[in-house]
Amino acid sequence: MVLINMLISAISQGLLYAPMALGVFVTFKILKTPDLTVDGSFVVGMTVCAAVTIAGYPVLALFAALAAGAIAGLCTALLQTRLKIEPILCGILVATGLYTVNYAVLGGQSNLYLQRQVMNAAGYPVNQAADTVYKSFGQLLNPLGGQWKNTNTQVMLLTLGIVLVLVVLLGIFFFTRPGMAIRGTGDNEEMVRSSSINADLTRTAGIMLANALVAFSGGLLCQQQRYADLNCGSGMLVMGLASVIIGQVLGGNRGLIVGLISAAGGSILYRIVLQLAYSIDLPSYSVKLLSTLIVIVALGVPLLKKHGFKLPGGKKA
Amino acid sequence: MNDCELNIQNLTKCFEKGTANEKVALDHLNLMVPAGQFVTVLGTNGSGKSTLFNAILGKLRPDEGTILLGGEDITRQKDYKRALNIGCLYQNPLRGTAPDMTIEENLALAYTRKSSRSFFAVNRRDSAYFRELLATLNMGL
Repeated sequence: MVLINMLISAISQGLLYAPMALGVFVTFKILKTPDLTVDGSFVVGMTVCAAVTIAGYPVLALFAALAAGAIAGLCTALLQTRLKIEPILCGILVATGLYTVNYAVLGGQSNLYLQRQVMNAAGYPVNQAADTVYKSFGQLLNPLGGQWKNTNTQVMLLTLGIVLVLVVLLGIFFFTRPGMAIRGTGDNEEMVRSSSINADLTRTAGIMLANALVAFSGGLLCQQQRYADLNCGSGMLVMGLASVIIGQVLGGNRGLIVGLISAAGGSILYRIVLQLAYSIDLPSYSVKLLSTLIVIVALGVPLLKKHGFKLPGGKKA
Repeated sequence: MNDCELNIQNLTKCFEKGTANEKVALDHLNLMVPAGQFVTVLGTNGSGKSTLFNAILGKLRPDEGTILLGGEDITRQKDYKRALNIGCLYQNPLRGTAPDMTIEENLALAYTRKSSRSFFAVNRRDSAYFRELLATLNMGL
């Protein structure tokens, strides 16, 4: 039972971060430009979502997170396409600037719990937890009893539903005309331009979409853990990359739909791997080094293979 | 499309102006191509063939002169806008194709400018047209 609970919790975490992995997939695999805005847009989704949730609109908060992420992406895209600044630097610039924005959204503090002050019957102010989508979903499932009452199960089910919808919508979108133009832009921008498509516009749309997804992930996490924290975003891109790469190792290079599913699946597997690492008594702060190593190994393997290094078991890289 | 006429006047392009490497690639070039004409441009390396085509395609800005296509001044028009009426086949086929997309998607992408509006990029009507064209190549596509 403990093991199952651990697994469910890991899967839930993976699902919460899955939209972020999808966002990283869009920039890294589709636009083929690593976008460092991710570290900032994840937190912007979190803070905006926290503010709107506390105001009492948990569902609207998730859409607000999406919008805030899209705006962050727009900033990065404008720096890239209009001012022709190096893409990597654009992301760093926007993410750095966003830190101040996030601070301001949280009202000048570095973290914020999803609660508000109300007067109790005796006239004293008390903190009341703000409604979240997970709370509402839980209230829906609680009467069923048994495993359904388990918070982790509830989080897993709701997030699974949301992620499935996202994957389906993205899958459809990337086969529409604008969606395919975005894929083409990453693949061969010159060809897209000579096909009379404004590549700056498609690139902008792609970066906005990616950061909206990342911020949405931040929003989901914020509602699930019931607080927003400014430091949640650091290293987010590397974690996203690790998820995308794990997914790719499993799913292989078999087109867009498989790629999207693998990215989301990679996010889940990544959390399971982390959970396993914790259970062999690796400290929780080892996450970032582990993620970094995963990314370095995965990105380095193709080159090592070219130079004649044999991988055990003929692993696909 | 058919009565399109390319009219280039006084086209000048100079690279690295004012330096020791100064190179006048195009020097007040005038060129008029009537509709339906097939033109071949020949020249040695560095004689300005690519510069001419890049100027027509909008990949680089000429220093002087105007380019008219079908009576419309396109000298300052963005490259992707004029691509609506200009086709370009590159010497290196990799430059004109998207490697991660299927042949059909590549065709659909290249056909975007003239195809009917549709929700999905690859649609039945365009696909049938592509199949018809590909069949003539006898490559089993």
